[in-house]
Order: sequence, then C-alpha cells, then structure tokens
Amino acid sequence: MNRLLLTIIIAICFLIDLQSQNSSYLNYHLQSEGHMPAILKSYIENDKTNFVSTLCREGKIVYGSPVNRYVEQIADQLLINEPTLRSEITILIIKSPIVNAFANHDGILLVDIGIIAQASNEAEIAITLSHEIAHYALKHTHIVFDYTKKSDVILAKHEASREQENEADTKGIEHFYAASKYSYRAFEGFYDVLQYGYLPFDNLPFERALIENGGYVFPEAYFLQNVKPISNRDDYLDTLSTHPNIAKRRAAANAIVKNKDNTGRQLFLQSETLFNEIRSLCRLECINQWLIQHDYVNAYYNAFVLQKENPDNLFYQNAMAIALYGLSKHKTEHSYREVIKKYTEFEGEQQAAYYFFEKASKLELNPLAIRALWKIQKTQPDNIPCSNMLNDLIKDLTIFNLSLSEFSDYPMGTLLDTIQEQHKAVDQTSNDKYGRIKNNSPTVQKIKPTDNFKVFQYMLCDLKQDSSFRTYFQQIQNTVADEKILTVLLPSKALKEEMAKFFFMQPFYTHYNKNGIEDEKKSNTGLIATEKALKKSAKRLKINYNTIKFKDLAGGGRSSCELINENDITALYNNYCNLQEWIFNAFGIKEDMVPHLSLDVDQIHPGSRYLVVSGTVVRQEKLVSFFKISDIVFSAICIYAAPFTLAKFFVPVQSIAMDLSVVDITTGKTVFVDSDNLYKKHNVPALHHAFIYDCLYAIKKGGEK
Amino acid sequence: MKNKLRLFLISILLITATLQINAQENSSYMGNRVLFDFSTTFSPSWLYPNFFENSDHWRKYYSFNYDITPSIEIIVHRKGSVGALYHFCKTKFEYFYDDDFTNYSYDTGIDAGNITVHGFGIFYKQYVGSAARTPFGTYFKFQFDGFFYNAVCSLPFEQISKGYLFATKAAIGHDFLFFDRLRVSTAFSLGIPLTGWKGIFETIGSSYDASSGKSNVQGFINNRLAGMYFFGFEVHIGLLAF
Repeated sequence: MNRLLLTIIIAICFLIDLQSQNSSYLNYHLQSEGHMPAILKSYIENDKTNFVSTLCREGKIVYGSPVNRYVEQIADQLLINEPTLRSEITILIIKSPIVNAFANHDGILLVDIGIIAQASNEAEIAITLSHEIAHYALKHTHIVFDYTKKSDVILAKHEASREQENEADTKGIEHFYAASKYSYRAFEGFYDVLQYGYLPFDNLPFERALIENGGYVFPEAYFLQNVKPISNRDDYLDTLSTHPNIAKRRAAANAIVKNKDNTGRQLFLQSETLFNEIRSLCRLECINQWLIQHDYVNAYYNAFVLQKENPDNLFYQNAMAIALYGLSKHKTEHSYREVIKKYTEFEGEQQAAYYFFEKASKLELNPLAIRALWKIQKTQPDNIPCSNMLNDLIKDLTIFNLSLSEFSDYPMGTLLDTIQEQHKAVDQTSNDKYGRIKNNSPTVQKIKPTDNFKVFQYMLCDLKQDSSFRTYFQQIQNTVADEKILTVLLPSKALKEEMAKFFFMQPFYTHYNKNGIEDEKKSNTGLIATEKALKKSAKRLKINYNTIKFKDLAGGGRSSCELINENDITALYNNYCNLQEWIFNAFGIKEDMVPHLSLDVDQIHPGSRYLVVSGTVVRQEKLVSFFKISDIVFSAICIYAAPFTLAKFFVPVQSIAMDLSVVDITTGKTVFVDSDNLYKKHNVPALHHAFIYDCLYAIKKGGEK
Repeated sequence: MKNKLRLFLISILLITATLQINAQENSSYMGNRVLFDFSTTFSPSWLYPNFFENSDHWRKYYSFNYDITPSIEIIVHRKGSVGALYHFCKTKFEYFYDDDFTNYSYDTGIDAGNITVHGFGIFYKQYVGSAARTPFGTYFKFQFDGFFYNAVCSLPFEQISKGYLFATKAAIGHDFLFFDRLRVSTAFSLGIPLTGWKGIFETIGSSYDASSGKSNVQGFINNRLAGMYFFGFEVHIGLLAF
C-alpha cells in the first residue's frame, strides 16, 4: 500500500515537473538534475579515457532527469526481488538518438534516448533494461574487436558475442522480466523497435503544404512519386554481427514467453500518460541531437511528424526553421553532401524529404528558410539565435545580388494582364523627376513578374505585403552595405586587445596505435603534455590561462572546505554539457553560419568571450618499415650511417592532425583557426607543441590567420 | 685575396639569413631561442692516420679522428639558425727523419708527430621539409672554420711548427627534440679548405720528411688537416636553454 502511494506521489511529481517543462518546450534540452552519482563522479575525478568518461566528456550523459527517474522506476520493478543487485546498478541516459543500450562492468547501465523515443510502451523499455541487467549479472565483458587480426579470430569473437546476447536475452526474460509485472505481450513490439528503430518516429507522407503555399509551387520533378518500400527482412546473415539477427532473437524470446502466464501483467506499471510525456521529452531531445549533429533533413522530417500530433508546439516549428537554415547555408556553400545523404540510401516516406532537399536549389532554400524564420520572428521576437539566422539569410541574398525588387509581389500564375500598374500611373502623372524616382523606390514599387521569373522569385510574395517584413528586410540589407563601409573606416578590434577574455577548453587528444585502435594510456599522456604546452605557451606569451577542466566538474582540485555543494556540481556539469554541445555544433558548421544554440558565457566562465579549443589526433606508424630495414642493411655496409639508423630506429614515426581554433561565443564566429596535417614524421610531439605556441603567438600579435 | 672574397661571401650569406626574421611570425621554439650544443665529428682515418696510428690496416676505415666542438646556436627564423663554435682536436702525422748527426750515430726512421688543433667557426643551418622547424628536423648546415695548430716532431730533435687553415664545410643532418629541451642530432659533412680541394689528396701515402726542413711542414700539415676535415659524421647533443 505504501509502495503504491509512493508510486502515485512520484508520478504526480513527475507530471507537475513535466507540465512545467511543457511550457518551456520551446528551448527544451535534456539536463541533469539532483546529485551526481558517486560512480560517475569517480569517472570524472580519475579523468581517464574510457567509454563512460568519453561520453561524459562529450556532454552526452544525463543523470537525475525525469527520464532517468522514469527508467529507474522500471529498474526497481525488474529488480524488486534483488535489492543487492539493484543497489549495484546506476542508470544513466545517453543523449543519442540511436536505438541502443549498454551495460558496463561496474554496474552502469547506459540507455540511449533513441530507444525510449522509439518505444511503444513502458514494457518495451523494461525488456531493454532486463537484457542489460542480465549482461551485468552474467559478468559479460566487452569484446574488443581488433580487425587487424586474422579473420577466423574475428569470426570467433563475433560468435562469442552473439552467444552472450542470447544468454542475456534468456536470463533477462526468465529472471528479471518474469519477476516484474510487465506484460509478455510487449516482446513482439520490442523486436519491432529493434528492427525499425532506424526509421523516423512515424512514416507519414512528406506534405507539399509544408514547403509550398498559394503563392508558389515547386516543379513536380522535386517530388518523388514512389518511395522505396521499407525493408522487412529480419533474418539477415549475422555472421559478422555482434548480435544475432532479429528473427532469431524474436523466435527465441517467443519460445520462452509463449507458455508464460500473462495474467495480471501490464504494458504500463507507471501511467501511460507519464510514458507519453517521457517519450515526448526523448523525441524532443532526439531532434535537438540531430540538429547539433547537422542531420538537418532527419530533424526536419521528424519535427514535421511530431508536429502533426501537436501542431501548437513551437519547438517543432523552431526545429524545422533551424533545419531549413542549415540546409540553405550548406547549399549556398556547396557543401550539402556533408549534411544531406543521397536520397537513395533511405526508405519509406522520409525518402521524399531527402529527395526534395537534394533537388531544391540554394536560391529556393534561402527564401524557404526566410519564411520559416520570419514566422518565428513575428511570434518570438526574443528568439535571438533565430533572428540572427534570419539576418544571415537576408545577407546571403545580398551576396547573391538579390534585393526585394527581384521578388514578385504577385503569386505564381497571376495573369500578367490583370495586374494594375498603379505605380506607373502615378509616375506618369508626376512631372517632377524626383517625385517619379521616389515613387519608384523599392519600398513602394510593386514588382510584376515576367515570363523569366523563377520559382524562388515568387516565394516572398505574401511576405512582401507585410510592411514590417519589407522594413526589416531593407534594414538588414542596409546594414550589410554599411558594414562594408565601416570595415574600411574602422579597423576591427584586434584579437590581441581581448586576450583577457580568453578561456581554454580542455584539449582533445587521441592517440591511435599501429592497428588503428585508441591507446588510452598514450592518449592520457598526450593530453597532459598538450595541456602543459598550452599552459607554458600562454604563460610565456602572457596570456591568461583560464581553463574549463573536465576533472573540475566533480569538485576535483578543491579542498573539502571549499567543495561546492551537490547542486552546484550539477549546475557546473550541465554548463559543461551545454558547452560541449555548443562546441560540437559550432565547429561542425560552416564558418559563416550562425550556431542555433545559445550559450550563457557568464555561467560558463564569467567575463570570458573567446573560447580556445585545440584538437589533436596522433597515429603511431609501424616501427619497422621497408625503409628502416634498408637503413639497417645500409648501416651494416657503411658503419658511418649507424648513428642515423639508430636515431631513426628508436625515435617513433607518427602521423598527426592538429587544429586550434578561437571562437567568439557571443556571435558563434570563428575568429582564428589554424590546422596542420603531417604524415609519417619524427619529432611529432615537438611539432605539436611548436604549433600550439605559434598559434597563440599569432593570436597575440594580430589574430589574423 | 681569394680567401677574403670567400669569407666575405659567407658573411653575406649569414647576414641575409639572419635578416629573414619576420616580426609577425614566431621564430622561436616555445619562446626559446638559444641552444648550447656539444658535438663530436668522427672523421674516418682512411686518408691519414689518427692518433691511434692504425692506419695501415683495414681497420682504418673504422677508426676515426675526433673533433670536439661545443657551440652556441641562436634561432633566427622558423627554418634557420646561426651559431658559433669552438674546435678542439688532436691527431697525428707520419714523418720520416734521416739524421746522421744525432749522438754521432746515423739515425733514421718513421715516427708519428702530434698535431693539436684549436679552432673557431660560424655556421648557418637551414631546416627543410614540412616536418622541420628550428631547432628540429632535417637541415643543411653551412660552416666556416679557422683552425690554428701546433705540429710537433720529436725525432731526431723536437721541431714545433705553428700554422693555420681556413676551411668551409656543408653538412646534412637531422635534429630530434625531446621534452621540448633536449636535442640530439646526427649529420654527415663534407669540407674543403679555402685553398682548394686538391691539397687533400696530394700527400696521401707520403710522410713528411723531417730531415733538416727538406719540405714545407705547414703545407703538409694543412693537407693533413684538410684530409681530416674532408669527410665526417657528427653526433650532437644540445640543450634548448632559453
């Protein structure tokens, strides 16, 4: 009875919490809440490179959120008879739209939001958890696949992995799932989630009304008539898979559950409403993640699908506008292949969306995005990132030499003969030259289309009737013209004058061994060396070395008396995650794009403005190559070459890719960037350190690169 | 006159290289510019004997003259440095003596005389390739040296000869930098005296006739040193100090 009461109270708390979040869906981001779990804290404090800390370092792990609490409740149900095991398990959520979950050897269960976003009921999430708990209980270890080894070794490892999966399926159902009150009927749906989880949230036809209105229509050639059917095959060859194929897993599970008694078992032990809310949050976060990863068409199509269910939700409207902006910019930069995969790779109704965005030109996508962003500008004037994007698109039109006078005031298909040429009548009646000129100004003159007008030239016809749009548009274009003059008149404030506003992100450093597998020990050593080089260079150049360190997130480096409280740690962690997402997003977009995420710099590092980020990837090359063997032979013949050979033999040969950027967080613009790639060289650490110093020196001297 | 012209040209080369310094571009390594270096040049004694006097055997190809060279080097731009160095080496030369006045008895024979050399030099190093950056990577070195020597023949009576030799050499090598401070290098070098390369081979297989000053000892020693200078390989260890 007490348990039931507690569950009801928790559910009510969830709903209140979710209701409050509903009102702020507009900028929804899944964030951690409450106390940081001790096990996660130890990962951060140890600051080692491993799977969990890498995810954490990337800002992908969430704890204490409504989603975590919901999943924890499910785990409670599954482990109702195993309190000891329950106490060993910590559930963390990964902000990733992939349908997946992991069990770590230390009891951490990592659940991707993708699997919750695609689930149909609570019981399907319970099946996922029971499988992962079984992995932990059976002490299954991660099998590392080294593809450089002989193929029969790989095949054996795959087979072992598939056996582990079968064991986990069986134990999960019979031991943990059976102990709970979740319905066995959920299994069919669960395997559907695994099979079709790569598809969007629904398979709805891509509607032309989304992108067209009465004023213009796109050519029929832009719309795919027949989309590729969704593949139903679940009995694919799994010899090279870590998991058995879906058909086998489905059959095995059905064999176990078919004779089980389902009486009293339910698909939802918490309320269905709560499940829907939690799933909605995960779906929103999936869209966020797609936008951050620049998977714009995926974000656009899924936002469209979800908007059908909830047309008033401004989040979807914003997401679609941001996606259009990204697509337009990448088309403009001729880099759309970086963000739009070929439409033939997709199946189902989403294929039509990919097809359309592949066909639409940059001149068509620009007004399409302007239309979407103007709608937001009208309803959410405080939405600064969207305003900046709108301004950026209008500036792009200036670059294309397009002003409002290039866009028709009349919808496509208007009979030209029926258009009254009022302004011409005015012109003719005026005898004054200047009067005629004023009457012909772009803000007054109505543009009549000609036969040569393209589709994009009709796309702003309705917006042009809105005087506020015309004024706004003209203001931005005037600003572009003014900026050109101001650039000549006023020298831009040199970066060297802003050195006090710099702060350094902990560098990224990855070291791959000869087989292409990350060497964690060398990555850590390299990271420490890079930090030292940054610190030393900054000190030498008298640049303030303010840093945001991953290790500090758990209160590391502070004495017990100055240790901040748990809520502060979570706030710090959330800020760090936001920063990581911002960096991922900002560094992936084109240089002149506006990031759609906004960042409160004062929360991250008060008084700072410029973020210094450096990334390095080192690859160890093979020690004994043909050339080195030839050196040894040469040395044997001519002893004078011996010192050379010895030196070359003992000094490692490495390839390195290094990058250092400075980003203005207030604008999202990259103000300095330098990178270098060197292939198979000696002295790589020295080259790296010299690169770091040279970059900081260049910033100090002028910041032009 | 010819020597002065060469000296002048080398000086012009060094000054030009130094003037490549670009104030906007960092020329130092992590803010450090000055290196202290210690090197030994191993010169095989296949043309002339070394002070171990084993030049008659095949082992002469694997025995060396040693030129000890401490130096100071200053980074002047991203791909170049200049430096000054001091030389010290000891070697031998074979001489023939024929003296019938010693102790009223006829005395003749072959002996090894000692040469002690002190020298000074300046050099310019040009680093090449994408992975080179002063002070590490593959480099070419151009060096100008002046040697001042004492040559001593003990028999039949002690004769001390003093002289000097100016020479220039080019080297190709590779610098490795460890821990942002420690530099280890190896290089091959080829050098010739300013008087020309012919002298290097003039006195091969012959000994200096120390009998009553029958031949020019300075010319012989110069050739002897030029032979040592002609080919060498260098091993350096250095410290990027500040």
